[in-house]
Amino acid sequence: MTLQMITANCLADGLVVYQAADDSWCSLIQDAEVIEDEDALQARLSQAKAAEGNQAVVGVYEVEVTEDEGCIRPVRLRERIRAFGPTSHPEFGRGQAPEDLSPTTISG
Amino acid sequence: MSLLKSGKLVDDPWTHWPDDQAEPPEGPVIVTLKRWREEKPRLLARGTPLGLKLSSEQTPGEIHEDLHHFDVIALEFPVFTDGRSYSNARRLRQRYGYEGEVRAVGEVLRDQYLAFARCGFDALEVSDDETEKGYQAAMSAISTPFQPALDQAPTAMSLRQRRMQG
Amino acid sequence: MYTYDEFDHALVRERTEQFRDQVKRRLSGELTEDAFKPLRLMNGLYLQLHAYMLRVAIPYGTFSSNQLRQLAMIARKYDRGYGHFTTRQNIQFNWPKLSDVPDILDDLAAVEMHAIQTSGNCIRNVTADQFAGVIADEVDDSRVWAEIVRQWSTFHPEFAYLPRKFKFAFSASEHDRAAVRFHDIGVIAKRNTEGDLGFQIMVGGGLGRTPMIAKTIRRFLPAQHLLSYIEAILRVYNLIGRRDNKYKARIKILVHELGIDELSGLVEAEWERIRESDLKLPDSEIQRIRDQFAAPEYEDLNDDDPAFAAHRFEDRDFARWVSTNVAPHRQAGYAIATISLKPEGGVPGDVTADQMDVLAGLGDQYSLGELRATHEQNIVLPNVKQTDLYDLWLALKAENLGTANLGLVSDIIVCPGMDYCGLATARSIPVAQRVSRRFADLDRQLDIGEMKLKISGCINACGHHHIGHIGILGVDRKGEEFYQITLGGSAGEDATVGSIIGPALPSDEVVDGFETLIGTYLDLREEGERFLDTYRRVGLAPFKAALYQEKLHVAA
Repeated sequence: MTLQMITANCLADGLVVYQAADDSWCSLIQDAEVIEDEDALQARLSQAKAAEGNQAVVGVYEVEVTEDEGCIRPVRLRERIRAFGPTSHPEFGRGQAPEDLSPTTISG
Repeated sequence: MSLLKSGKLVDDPWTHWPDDQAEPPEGPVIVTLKRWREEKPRLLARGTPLGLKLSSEQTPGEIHEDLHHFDVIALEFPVFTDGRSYSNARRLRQRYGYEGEVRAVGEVLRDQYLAFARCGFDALEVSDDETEKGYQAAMSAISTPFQPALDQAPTAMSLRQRRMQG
Repeated sequence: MYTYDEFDHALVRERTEQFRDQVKRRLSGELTEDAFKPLRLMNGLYLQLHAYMLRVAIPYGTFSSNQLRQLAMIARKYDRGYGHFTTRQNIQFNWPKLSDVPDILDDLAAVEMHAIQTSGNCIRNVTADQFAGVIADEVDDSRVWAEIVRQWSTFHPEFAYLPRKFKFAFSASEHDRAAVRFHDIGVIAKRNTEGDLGFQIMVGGGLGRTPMIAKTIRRFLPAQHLLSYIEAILRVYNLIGRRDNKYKARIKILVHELGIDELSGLVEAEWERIRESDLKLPDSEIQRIRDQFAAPEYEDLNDDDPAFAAHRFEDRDFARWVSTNVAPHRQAGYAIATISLKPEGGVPGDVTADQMDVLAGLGDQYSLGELRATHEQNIVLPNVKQTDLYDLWLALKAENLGTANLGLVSDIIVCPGMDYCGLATARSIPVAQRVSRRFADLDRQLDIGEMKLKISGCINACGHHHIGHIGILGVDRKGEEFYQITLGGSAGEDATVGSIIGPALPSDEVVDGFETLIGTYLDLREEGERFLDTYRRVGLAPFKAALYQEKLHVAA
C-alpha cells in the first residue's frame, strides 16, 4: 500500500490539519502520522471521524503521500498546495514547500 | 414524529398509510397519490376523512379537481434542500384556493419553519424533541419580510408606502 | 446610493443573530455539518482548501468609502490584511475563522453590508453596469431595478432551495457592460416608442460546463411588472428545473431542453395569475428607490479643463492612463476613472487593507464618497472632476494602483483556482502572473490593443474563460496542470462563446503559446482591428496553425 495520512479542516478556524499519532491534530504535514497499511488506515479514519463527531474537525479524508529523505510530500498537487500553502501568496506558506511549489518556479 | 399545527404541538389525528401496506390504519389516513389513483372509489367509500401526500416531484395540478376530497395535503421534502414543495404549497393555496391543512413532511427542520409558514403550510411533522419555544424562536427570525407571500405579515414595501402616504 | 432604513437594518441584524445562533449550534454539535452547510452557504461562507472563505455582497457593485474602510478593518482584524474582488462584483476574504464570522457580520451590518445569499442554491448578488448613473448611453439607472430585485429576492421563502444558484444582471444601455446575456436572467432597460420604461427579459445564459447565451423571453415588459414576471420565472424553474444532476440544474438547461417558446408559455400562464398581486410595483415605490440613486450635487463645470489638458500634454504616463482608464462622464467637467487591480505580476483583484484605506480616502476626496466594483475585478471612482484626475493618478501610482492597462493584455480576469478553491483542477493565478510579467511593457500592450484574457482554474468557469477574447482553462492531465485555450469569446452585446483551439498545453508552454497567438494576430491584423476583429475575420485556422506547428509536446 502507498503511504497515507489523515487530513481535515479545523472546524472553528477552517485551517488545514493532519492527524498525529497521538490523535491530536497538527498544522504541519511533517509532524503527522504516516500510515503504512490498510487496516491501520481504517482504524485511524475511524478515530478521525470521531473527532468530526466532537466538533473538532470537519471533512476527514485520507491523503496519499511519499517520503523523500524524510520529507513528506502529498502525491496530488492539490494536496501539496493544501499542505504548504497557496503558491499565489507565498507569505502564507507553511512548512518546507517542495521545489515545484516554490515561488521561484513561477517564471515568465 | 410530532405535529406542530399553527405553532402548537398537538396530537396528530392523521396516520400515513404506506403503499406497501395492504390494509389501512384506523381512522383518518393520508394516502399517496399512487394509492389515490388506484383505489379512489374504495377510499371514498370508507367514509373517514382523507388526506393526500404528494412527493416533491408531483404537483397539485395533477389532481386539482379532487382537492375537495382531502382535509389535509401533505407535501414531502425528501431532503430539506429540495425546495419544490414551497412552490407546490403556494400553488395549492393561491392557484387552487385550497383551504384545508397543508402539512410539510420529510426533512422538516427548524431553520425553515418561517419559510414554510410564508408559503402556506400550517402544519409541520417534526422530530419528537422539537418544542413550541423552538418554533417561536424560528418564527421570529425575520420581523419584516421583503416580499409578499402567503402569511399576513406586511412587507417592508407596504409599510414604507403606508408611511409615505402619512 | 441606497441607504438602509429601519427595515433594512432589522433584516441584516436579524440574519446576523440567526447565523450567530446557527454557528453556536454547529460548534456545540447540535447542528451537524450536513444541516449546517446549506445555512452557512446562504450566508456566503465556504470551506475551501486552506480555510473558510467569506463572500461579502456588494449589491450591483456600488459601495461607499465608509464601507471600504470597514472592509479594510475586517481584513486586518479577522483576516490576513487583504481582500479579493470577484467576477460578480463581490469581495472575498480567504481566511476568516468560523467562530469570528458572527462578529464580522455584525461589523458589516454596522456599515449596511452583509453576506446574505452570496452562495447556495438561491438568488445571488444582483449585478449591474458598473457605470450606471454616470454614463451618457443609458436609458435609466439600472441600479434602481437591481435594488428592487435585490430586496424582493432577500429571504424569499419560496426560492431558498432552488435546483441551483440563480444570478441576475442588469443593464440599461445598448452597450452591455454587465454581461447580461450570460446570466440566468439578464435584464435590459429600454424605452418603447411612447417613451415608457420597460425591460427586455432574457433567460438561460450561463458559463460553467455548458456555456450558453440567454434567450429573450419577453421583448418589452412594462416596468411595474418586473417583480411579478421574474417571480413567475422563478416559480416555474423551482418546480421543473432539473434536480437529478448538479451540472444540469441551471435554468439554461431548462431553456435548452424545453425550448424558449414552451418555457415562455409556462411563465406567461403563471404570470397571468400573479401580475395584479402585491408584486406589482406602485409608482411611488419605484420613485422612492429612484430617489435613493439621485445624482449627487455636481458642480457646474466645463469639459476639457485646461489644467487637465496641460497635464496630459506634459506627462505622457498620465496621458496614457487617461486614454485607457478614464471614460467620459455624463456630467460636464467630470470623468469616470477605473482603477486597475492588475499591477504587473500581481494577483488580479487583490487589494491590501492599506490600499483599501487609501482608496476610501480617494473616494471621499475625489469621488463624492462612492466607488464601484466591476465584474472584471477592477474598481471605479465614478464621480471624479477632470481637474482632479492628475492628483488622483499620482496618489494611485504611489499605491501600485495606477497601472494604465484597462482592457489590455495584463487586465486579466482570473478565478482563485487551485491555490484556493476546492473545486479547481489547476492553478490559474500563476498563469495570470506569468502573462502579466511577459507583457509588462505598456507600449507593447497598447500596440496590441484591446485584449480580454480570462482564466479559469476549472470547468466551472468562474474566471469566465468562455467569454474571453482569449480564454484559458486549467485542466488536470494525469496529475499535471494543462491549459486549454479558447478564442473569440465576448461578454457584451456581441455575446459569443469562445471556440477551443486544440489540445491543451502543458503549464510550461501556455504563456509561450499565448504569446504566439498574440504574434499571429499582430501579423494578420488590418488597420484598426482589435484581436477580436481579426479573429472574426480570419477564423481559428491561422491561430491553430501557428500555435501547434511549433509544438513539441501535445497533451493526449
